[in-house]
Amino acid sequence: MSGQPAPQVDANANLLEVEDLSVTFHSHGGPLKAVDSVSLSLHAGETLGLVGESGCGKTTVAKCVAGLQRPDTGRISLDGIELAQRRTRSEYRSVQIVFQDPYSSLNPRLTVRRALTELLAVHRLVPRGRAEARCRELMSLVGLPAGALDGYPSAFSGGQRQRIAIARALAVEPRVLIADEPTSSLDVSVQATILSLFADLQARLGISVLLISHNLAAVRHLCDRVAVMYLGRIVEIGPTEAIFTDARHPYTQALLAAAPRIAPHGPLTRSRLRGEPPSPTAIPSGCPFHPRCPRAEAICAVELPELARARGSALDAACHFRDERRHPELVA
Amino acid sequence: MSSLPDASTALELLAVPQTGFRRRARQSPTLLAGAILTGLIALAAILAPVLSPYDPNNQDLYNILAGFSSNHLLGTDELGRDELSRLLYAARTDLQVGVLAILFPFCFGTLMGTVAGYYGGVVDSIVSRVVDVVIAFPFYVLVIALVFVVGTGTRGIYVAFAVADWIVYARAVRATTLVVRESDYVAAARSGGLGDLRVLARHVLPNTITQAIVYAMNDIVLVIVAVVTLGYLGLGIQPPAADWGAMIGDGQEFLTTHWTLATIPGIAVAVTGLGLSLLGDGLSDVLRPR
Amino acid sequence: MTAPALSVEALSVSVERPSGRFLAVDEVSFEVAPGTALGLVGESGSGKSLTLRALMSLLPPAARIETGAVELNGKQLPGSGRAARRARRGRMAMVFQDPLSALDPVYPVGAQIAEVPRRILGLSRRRSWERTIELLRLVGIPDPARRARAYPHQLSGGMRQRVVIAIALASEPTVLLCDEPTTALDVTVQAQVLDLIDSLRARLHLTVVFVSHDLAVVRQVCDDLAVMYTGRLVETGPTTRVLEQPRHPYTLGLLDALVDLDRPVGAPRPIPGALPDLERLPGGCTFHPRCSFATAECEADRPDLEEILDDGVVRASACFHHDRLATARAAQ
Repeated sequence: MSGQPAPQVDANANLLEVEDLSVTFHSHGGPLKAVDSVSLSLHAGETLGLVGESGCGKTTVAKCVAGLQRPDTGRISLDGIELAQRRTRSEYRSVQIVFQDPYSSLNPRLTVRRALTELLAVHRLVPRGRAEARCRELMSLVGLPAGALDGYPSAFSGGQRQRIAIARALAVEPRVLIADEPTSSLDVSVQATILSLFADLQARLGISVLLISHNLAAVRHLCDRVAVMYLGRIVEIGPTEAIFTDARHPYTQALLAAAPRIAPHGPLTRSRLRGEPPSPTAIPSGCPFHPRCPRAEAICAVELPELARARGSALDAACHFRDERRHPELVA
Repeated sequence: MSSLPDASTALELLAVPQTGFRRRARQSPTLLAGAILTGLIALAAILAPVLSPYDPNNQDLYNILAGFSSNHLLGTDELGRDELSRLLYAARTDLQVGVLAILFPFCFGTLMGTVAGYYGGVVDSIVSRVVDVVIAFPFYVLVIALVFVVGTGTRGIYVAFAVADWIVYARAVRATTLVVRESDYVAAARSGGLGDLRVLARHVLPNTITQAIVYAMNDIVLVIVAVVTLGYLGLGIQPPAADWGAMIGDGQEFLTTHWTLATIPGIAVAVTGLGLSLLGDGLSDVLRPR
Repeated sequence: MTAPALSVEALSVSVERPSGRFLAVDEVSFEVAPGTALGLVGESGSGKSLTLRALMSLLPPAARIETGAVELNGKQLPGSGRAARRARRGRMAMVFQDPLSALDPVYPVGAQIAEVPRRILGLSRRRSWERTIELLRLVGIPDPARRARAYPHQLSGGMRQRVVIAIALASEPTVLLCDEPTTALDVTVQAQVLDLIDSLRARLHLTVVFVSHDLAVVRQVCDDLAVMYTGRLVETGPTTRVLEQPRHPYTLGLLDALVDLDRPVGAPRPIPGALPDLERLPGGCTFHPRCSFATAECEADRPDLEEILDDGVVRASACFHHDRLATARAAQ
C-alpha cells in the first residue's frame, strides 16, 4: 500500500485502456445514452485530448475512468489490470481528476495544508515528519508559495484555486491525470498559465494526461492525440496534427471551422453547420451526425459507420466517406 | 517550454488573508450582541446559588406579595418566596432543560439526515418515511400527548423532544447533504481514495452541520417556550422547582394587582429568546464559508 | 465622419462593498458610429459588463453612476431611474449571457416576444403576434409559428439565445447591447449566433456594443475594439489594427496569453502578476506592476487615453510608451 514504485513501461505500451464503455442514464425523458461503446487508450507519458460539445459524453467518460461513475458495460484497465467496479484505495489513487470549476472543487472548510496532509496520511505516502516538506514541494510544483498552505480556498483567485486542485491531484502520485475543462472557467490571461503548468508537469513528471475540453486551441497546444466525441460516440481519433490539418469526419471539420480565431481569415465565414446537436434521449438512426451533416447521403441515415482507419491518414474516423480528404463546404 | 518561474512570481501575492472564524466573529455585531446577551443569562443561571439573596423555595408567609424593596428587589410571590431568587433559579432549570432536550435530537437528527442524504436509496426512503409520519402530527399535540404518557416533569420533556424534534434536524441536514454530496470536492475526496466515513466526517459534515447548529440555537428557545407552556398548563417542571412557565402561570392570578409577578418571568423568556436568536443569526453569518 | 449613434462621455460607476465604495468604471468614454459594432473587451473585474449595464440603466443595487453622460443620436439620456428606462425603451435593447435565465419559464416564448410590440409600440394583439412570427423568422428560427408556442425549456440553448435576440429586436431599437451573448453556448452554435448578430447588424443597420472576454469572438463581429483594464479604457481602435499592432502592453499581453488555434507552436506567454484588487489599485498606471515596458514615469503618473497617429487610423492608447510598443513589435 505504501508508495508503489512506478513500474517500468515502454513508452508505446498502453497505460490506460478503455474498452467498449457504455453508460445510460435514466431520466424523466426516457433512457439517455450518454456514452455508447467508447474505446480509447492512453500511452505512458502521453496527453490525449477528448473534445466535443456539451452533452457529448466526454465528462461521463472522465468520471468512469476516475471511478466516480459506474459504467453499464465496458472495461477500464491500467497496466493491463482491470480496475474493479468498486475500487480499492490504491486503484482510486492511480487516476486523479481536476475539475472544471475551481470554486466548487475545493472543500471550503479545509486549509490547503489539511487537504493535502489528509491524502498523504491516508495513502501513507510519506512519513509523518516529511509531510510538511512534501506539501511545500507540491506547492512549488504548481507554482504557489509555501505560504498558500495556510489559506482556506476562499482566499484564492480562480487560477490559484485551480493550481491547488492540481496539487491535490498530484499529492497521491497518480499514474493518470484527468483534466475536465481545467481552464474554461478562468480568465483569458490565467488560462495560459494553467495550460503551461500542465505542459510543464507533463515534462517534469512524465504523467499521462486525459484533457477534456471544448477549447480546440488548448487541445492542439497540449495534446499528442485527440479524440472527438459526438452524441456519446467517438467519431474521430488520431494524432493531433492530423486532426487539425486533415480531419476526415465532417463533424471534426465543422468544429474546427466554427472555432473563433484571432488571425483574420478574410471575410467572416458563414455558419457551416445547420442546427444543433439533438437531445441524447433521441439519437438519430444510422450515423448520429447525419441530420446536420452536409456530406450525408442515403446510407448515412441507415447504417452506423464504424470507427476505422482512413486511407492515407493516421486517423480513425467513423464516417462512410472517411477516405475523402475534405468536404470543402465545411472548411473555412 | 516552462513558464513556471513566471507564474510563481505571478503569485507572490499571498500574505494569505485570514478568513478564520475568529476574525469574522469579531466583525459580526449580531453575533457579538447575541453572545453577550446569552452569556449573561447563562452566567446568571450558573451563579444562581451565589447571586440569589434567598433560597428560592423558602416561604415567608408573613411577607407575601410584597412590592419592590431593598429586602426583596423584585418583591415576593403569593407564598412569600423571593421573586429574584426564583427568577435566577428558573433560568438555571429552563436553560439546562433547553440545552439537554435538544442534544439528542441534534445528534440523532444530524446523523439520520447525513446518512439518508449521502447514501440515498433504501436508507433514505426509510428515514424519509419516518420523518413524514412524525411530521404529520402537530408538534405541540405530539409533545403534550407524549408528556401525558411518559409523565410530567423534565423526563417527559426530554422524551417528547427526543421523539418529535430530531426530524427537523434530519430534514435540514439531509437537504444540504444532497447538495454537498454532488459537489466536486466530495467527488475529488472520493477519487482521492478516501473512505466513506472519512469523506462524511471531513468533507460532508463540516459543510452541512452549520445549518443544524444555527437551528439548534433557535431550538433551545423553542424548548424553553415549550417548557414554559407545559409549565403553565401544569404539565411541565413540577413545583416547587422554580421555572419561568410555572412563575407566569402562578403570577397570572394576580395580574390585575401584582402584574410584575407574571410579567418579569415573561420578559426573561423574551430576552433569552432574543439572545439565542441573535446568536443563531450571527453564527449562520460567521459559519458560512466564503 | 458621421455623427456617432451612441456616445459615452466620462462614465464612472462606483460599487458599494462592505469594506467601502470604490470605482469599478472610471471615466470611460467612447463613440459608436451608426451601423457599426464596438467590442468591449476585458477580463473579470475590468468593468466591461458594468459599463454595458450603466448604458442600459440596469445597474445592480450596489452600483451607481457617479458621473458621465450617455448620448443617443446626439440627445443625452437620463442616467438612472424610471425616466432613464423610459428614454431607452424602443431605442436600446440588451441581449444577455444566459438565455435560460433571461427567459421566463412559465410563458411560451412567443408571448414573451409579443408583449414587447404590444406594450412599447402599442400594436394590437393580432398585429404583435404577426410581428412575433416575423421576428422569429428574422432570427433564423425554423417553423416560427409552431416554435412561438414552445416554452423556453423545450428549446435548445442556441434557439433560446435567438429568442432573446428576438425579444431585444421586438422594440425596434437602433442600439443593441450584447453581454457575452455566446459564452454559454457550444462552439458550433456560437458561430451561428455570431453570424446572426453580424447579419442583423448589417440588415437592420443596428449599432452594436458587444461585451466579451474573448478577443477571437469579438474579432468576428466588431469593427472597433475597446480594451478595458481595472475599470478604465486602455486602448481603442479598429479591430484588425488593434489586434495586429497593439499599442497598449495589456492588449499585447492578452494576445500573447491567448491560446489560439492558428498558433500551435510555442507556449502562450502569460501576463506576469495577477489582476489587482479594485479596492487596492496600484498608483500611476494600474498596469505598471505587470508591464515589461514600465518606467518610473508609469509608477508616478496615470496615462490618459490619448489619440495616437497610425497611418491616418483613429485609435487611442493609455500608455506613455505606445511608440516603443510599435517599434518593439516591428522589430520582432
